[in-house]
Amino acid sequence: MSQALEWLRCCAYFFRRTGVDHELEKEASLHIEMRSAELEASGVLRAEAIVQARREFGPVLRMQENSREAWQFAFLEQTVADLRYASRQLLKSPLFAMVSLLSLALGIGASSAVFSVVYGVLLHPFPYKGAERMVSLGFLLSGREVQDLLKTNVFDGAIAVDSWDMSATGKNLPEAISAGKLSANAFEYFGVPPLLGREFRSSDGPLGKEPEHLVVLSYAFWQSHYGGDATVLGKVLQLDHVDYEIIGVAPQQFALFHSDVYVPLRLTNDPDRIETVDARLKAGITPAAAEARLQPLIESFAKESPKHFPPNVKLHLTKLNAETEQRFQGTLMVLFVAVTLLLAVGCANVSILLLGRANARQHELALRSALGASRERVVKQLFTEALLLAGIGCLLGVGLAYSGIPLILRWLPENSFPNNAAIQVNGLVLCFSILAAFSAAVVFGLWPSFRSSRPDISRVMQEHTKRAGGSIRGQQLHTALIAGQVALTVLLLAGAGASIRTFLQLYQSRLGFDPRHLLTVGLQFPDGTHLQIDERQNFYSLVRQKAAQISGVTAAAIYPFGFPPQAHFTRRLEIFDQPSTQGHAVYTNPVSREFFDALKIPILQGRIWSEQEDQRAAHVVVVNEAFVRRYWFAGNVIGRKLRLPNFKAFTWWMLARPNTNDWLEVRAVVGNTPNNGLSRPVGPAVYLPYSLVLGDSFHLAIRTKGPPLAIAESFRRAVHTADPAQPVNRIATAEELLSREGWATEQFVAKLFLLFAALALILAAIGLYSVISFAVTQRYRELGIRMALGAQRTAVVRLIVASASRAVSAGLMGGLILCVLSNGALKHWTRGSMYDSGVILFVAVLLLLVMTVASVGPAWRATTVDPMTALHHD
Amino acid sequence: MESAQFLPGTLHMLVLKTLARGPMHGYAIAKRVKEASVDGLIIEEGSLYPALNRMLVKGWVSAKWGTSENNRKARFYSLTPLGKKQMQTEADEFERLVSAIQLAMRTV
Repeated sequence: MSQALEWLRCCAYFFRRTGVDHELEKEASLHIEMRSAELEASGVLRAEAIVQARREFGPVLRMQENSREAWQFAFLEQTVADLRYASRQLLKSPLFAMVSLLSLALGIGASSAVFSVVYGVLLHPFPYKGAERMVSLGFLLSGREVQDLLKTNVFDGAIAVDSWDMSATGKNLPEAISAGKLSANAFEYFGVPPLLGREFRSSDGPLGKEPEHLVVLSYAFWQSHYGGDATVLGKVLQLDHVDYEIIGVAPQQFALFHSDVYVPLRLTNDPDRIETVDARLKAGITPAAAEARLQPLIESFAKESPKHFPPNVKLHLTKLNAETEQRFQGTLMVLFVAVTLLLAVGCANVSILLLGRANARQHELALRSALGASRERVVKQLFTEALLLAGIGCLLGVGLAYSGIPLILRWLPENSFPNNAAIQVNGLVLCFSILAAFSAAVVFGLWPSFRSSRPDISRVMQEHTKRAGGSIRGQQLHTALIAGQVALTVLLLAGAGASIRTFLQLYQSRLGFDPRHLLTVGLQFPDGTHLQIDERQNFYSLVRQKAAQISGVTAAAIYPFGFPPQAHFTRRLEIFDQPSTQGHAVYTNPVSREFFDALKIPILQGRIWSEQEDQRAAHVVVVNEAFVRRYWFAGNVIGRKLRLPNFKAFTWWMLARPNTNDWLEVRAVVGNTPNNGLSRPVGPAVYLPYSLVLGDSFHLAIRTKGPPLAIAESFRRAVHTADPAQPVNRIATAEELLSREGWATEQFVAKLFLLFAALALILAAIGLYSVISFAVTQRYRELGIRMALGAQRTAVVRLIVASASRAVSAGLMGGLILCVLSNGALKHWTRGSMYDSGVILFVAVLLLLVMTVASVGPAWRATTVDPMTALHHD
Repeated sequence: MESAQFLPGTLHMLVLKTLARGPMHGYAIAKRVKEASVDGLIIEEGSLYPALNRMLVKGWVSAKWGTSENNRKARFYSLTPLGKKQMQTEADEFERLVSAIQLAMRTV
């Protein structure tokens, strides 16, 4: 109560403080007057009386100030005054302010933004319930087998999933829609509530029965096709000529398979209708323990239906985000380290700048002390300045972090995340960066008050007027900071160099085909159409012919799915007369004869099979160079025989010719193209006529004269004339496909690394520049004397640069040692290596060049010192 | 500000005690304190005013402009009920402190 009243009184004071000041003055003069009158009355002379009264009273101004301070708000006023003073100081040296703020903002913003992506991708990638316990079985199972699995008490839930393309029908042109087919219990399993309406549930698709025709829209599809209209519920979406009722919209974070819509999957007891199975382990059961417990069950499944399982079946559970983790862990860890280095360089920069300023302000602070400022007062003022600087810097940093995340996400390769809504600024890291930058700013902002408990006022004041050289102690700290900064910059530059080299190697690595002017298109039959193998082949062939006839197309080839750098699938190999090869895996690509022509894959030996052989599904094969190196060291390859014992697909959507497992005759050898990703060596591969096995979807590779996407529309029309119900599902240029395949990832890493390294280099250069400028200012008189005594300009420059070059070379050495030490770690995470003479040489030269420019500028300024001015300089 | 002879806080107590006699302006308070202590306590007169301001903030005294005995405009300070209570607390506290010190001086 009394506290509140006190506060109110203070508030009241705050609004009439000029009045109060006036009153205090009046009171003081009245007091002195009364006292002198009294003294005068006792016989003292008037003039003397006034002097004595004044002496007895003490300093009037201090009394006023102390009285004002009594009103508590004095503290606030002081702070406001300090802030005003501090901002004036910052405005007075805008370059200093800008550079410090930039260093802080970059350190905080860049590190938080990148770590937030790390967190979003690796640590919290899925919005599902118990996502960390979700595993994929890696086998296709029937509905009954799934039921058996669930009875084992290892899982607390399982779903069957399938990603499928359907056509939206009922409109003029059929449109391809990617559908996630999920067993009806899927949404209960994932535990993700709908954004709108409801999701389908177990009762909507019981085992062995046709599921209800219900559809849940993905958020993206709802936005793009219905404009986010909430009245969409209950409407009908026709898919493959069947009406589906729209019952709900999934939330934005739910992006399984990146499908457009989700429909219930038909789960049957039919052993041939088998699906991919995902399951969630019970809490406390590790994947390894689960594998051990389930292995006998899987073996019994394999015994019952051997054609659905590989021989010697071995259960391997894959964690849900294992793939993403594997692909990005290294990249993101390296980037995070890079960003931490950048934060450190930024902090060092702020420290250097503040340190230089602190030294320059010694005189001002000594003056303040001389005029009676208490040490607490000086510390408070310096603290306010540091706080102001750090506060603005941190605000900018936070802004940068928030605006940086969308930028990074835009840079990321497409579809590289399970979902893209969960990536937000990570509060913890933001706090960490802010704390780091803030501490640097405050510690070094308060530096002058640390340097001596009470400055020797007279010494500083006199020294300043007579000083010839700077203090040794300040310079040592500067040297250490610069050296540290340079070392970290070297590390960053080398890391950037290594990652750019990796990218360039990928770029230049022989693709073995020409991705330019090459279009790929994918078609998928609407469910339940083209069920006869001959009809399928005719349709494939018809579409290919129509594509080849489009003007501007030079070649069109059929391939089912695998496009370099991926193979279609692997099959077991057996070479005639070489029984030891039995069981070896070989990359297998069923293609039409034009494939090599369309991709411009060179033919090294023999001839490709003929069109007639394509038509009648002849037992012929073409092998790649890697195959020849691996299996036929010498001798003629053409005419030899091999077979693929498990070639006949066990997947029900594939139709195969009889005798596909028979011997195939080798007709030609072609050049290598990557078939196991861009970065891994090319494996042995075989190509055989597409007509041997025909799936319900296929692709065409179309070589064009001009820009490949220009013919996309003509192709759509051509397909429409072949079959009005047939949509075109996928259209992408070969170059786009390549960028999805790691190409873009490497490019992304290289770009980010380069950005960080450039920023670090700039910050380090600025740090060095300000240190040398500072040294020049400090040694102004000394330089003037030297010049007056006849020193050469070059000698003066050398003098100034010498100290800087010590710091830079120490930093360079330290940085190179750091590179060697951390190279192992980098290699562990990515394929790049910093231990590369080219990279190291480049880094060293670049660094020395930048550092020379940064240091010679201010040093040259030193030589323009006019001796007379310098000697008179305070 | 405070002369060395002052125990911390005693200035407040003395001023409050002085004001217990009735409203007074600053000069009168200073004179009264000086006289009462027979020069044993020397205060820099200026330091009285910050102390008065602190007490105003605390609500121990109130101030009002009035006319002095020689017909000048002066600020008269008077004790509030809260101030009276405070004076008693401080006096008791001081008594306790002094007797504790005396006891210690005798026994050591």
